[in-house]
Amino acid sequence: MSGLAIRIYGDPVLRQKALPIKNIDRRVRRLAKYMEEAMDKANGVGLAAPQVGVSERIIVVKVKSPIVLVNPVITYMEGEDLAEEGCLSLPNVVGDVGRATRVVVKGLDLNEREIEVEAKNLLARAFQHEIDHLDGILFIDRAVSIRRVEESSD
Amino acid sequence: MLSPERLIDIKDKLTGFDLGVVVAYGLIIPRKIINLFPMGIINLHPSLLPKYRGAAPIQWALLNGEEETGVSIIYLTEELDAGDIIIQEKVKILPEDNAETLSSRLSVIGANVLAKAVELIENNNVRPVPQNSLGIPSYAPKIEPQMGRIDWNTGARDIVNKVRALSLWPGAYFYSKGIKVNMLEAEVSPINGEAGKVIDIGDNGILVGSRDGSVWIKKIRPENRKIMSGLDFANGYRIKIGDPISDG
Ligand SMILES: [Zn+2]
Repeated sequence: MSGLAIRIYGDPVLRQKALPIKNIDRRVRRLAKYMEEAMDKANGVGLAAPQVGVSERIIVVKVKSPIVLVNPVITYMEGEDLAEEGCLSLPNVVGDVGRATRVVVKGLDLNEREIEVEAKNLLARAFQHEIDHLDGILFIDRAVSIRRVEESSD
Repeated sequence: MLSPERLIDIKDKLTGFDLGVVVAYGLIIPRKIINLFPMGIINLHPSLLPKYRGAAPIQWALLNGEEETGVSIIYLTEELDAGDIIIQEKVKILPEDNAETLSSRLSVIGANVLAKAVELIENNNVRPVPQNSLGIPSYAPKIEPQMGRIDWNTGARDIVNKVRALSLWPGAYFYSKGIKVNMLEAEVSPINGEAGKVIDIGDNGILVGSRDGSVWIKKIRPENRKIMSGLDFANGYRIKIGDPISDG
C-alpha cells in the first residue's frame, strides 16, 4: 500500500463512480487504517477512498472521534447552510457550498455490522462531502465563488 | 470604400467638401488630400488615444485585459492616429465581451460621438486636445494569424483574453489529434493544474491547466466542422482527464 498519496484534481479516479465493497476483509481494514493516517497527516476532517486512488465505497470522517463507514448511504437530510468548504484533493482552493445541516447516514463498520449515524453541522457536512466523492462529485461542482487561498505553511 | 492606391487618382472628386470623415481606414492619408478639406479631416479611432494607436486597438485592449476602452474622434494628420482629440468617450469592457461584441458596441457609440464631433465643428466649438497632454502613446499593431496559437504555458487569464480578442479573426486555436480547433468561448478557473493537461471534463466543458490557474474550454469549432460544446468535443473526440489537450 505505497500508493496512498492523496490524489489531486486532474487524476481521473476522482471522477469515477466508486464500486461497493463486498467483503470487509483484512485488505479493507488496512485501507481504512491508511486512509485515517493520511487524513490525520493532512489535517483533514474526512477522506474518501478515491482520494487515495482506490475506487471503492469507503470513507473516514473525523470531527471529534474517527468514524469509518463502508458503503455509506444518506437516508435522511434536513436544513440548509451555506459555508466555506475545501478538499484535500484540491489544495489551495475553497468555495461556498450549501449542505444539509442534519443527516442520517447508514453503512457498515469494519466488523461488517450495520450502523446508523446521526450527524449535525460540520460532521453532517463532512459526510455529504465524502459520500459525494464516491460518486465522482467534487465540492467545486456544488460550490459558488470558488477562490484561491494562500498555501498553508504547515 | 476606396482602395488605397486610388486615393490620389480620385483627388479631383474630393474637392468641394468642407469636412472629411475617415472611419477604419488604417493607412496614412497624404497631406495633399487632407489639404483639400478646409475644415480638415476627422477620424474615428476605437480606443482612448493616445493608447492603442494602430490597426487593432479593440483586439489589443482585450488581449491586455483592459476593463475600459473608448472611442476618440481626432483630426487626421500624416502621422497615424496622432492628431489632436476633438472628443473622446469611455466605454466599459465587460468580462463576457469579445472582439465581436465590443466592436459592435463601439461602433454604435462611435457613430453618436462622431455626430457630436461634427456638431462641435459646425458650431465652431472644438477645443482640440493634443494627445501628448494625455499620456504616452501605446501601439496596437495588426494581428498576425500565428498570434492565435494558444500557448498553455501562459496564464489562464492571458489565454482567455486571447480567445476574446481574436474571436473575429484569426481565432484562438490549438491542434488536437491533427485537427485545428478554434476556441470560441473560454473561462478562467482559479484552480491550478499541469499546463496543457486535461484536468476535468464536465457540463462546463474541458478544464485545461496553464501556468497560472486553468481554462474551461466551453465552446469550440474544429476546423470545417460545426460549433460544439466543450463536453461534446471531449465525448466526440475521446478526450480524457489526464490527456494533453494539444498535439506535440
Ligand atoms: Zn474532498
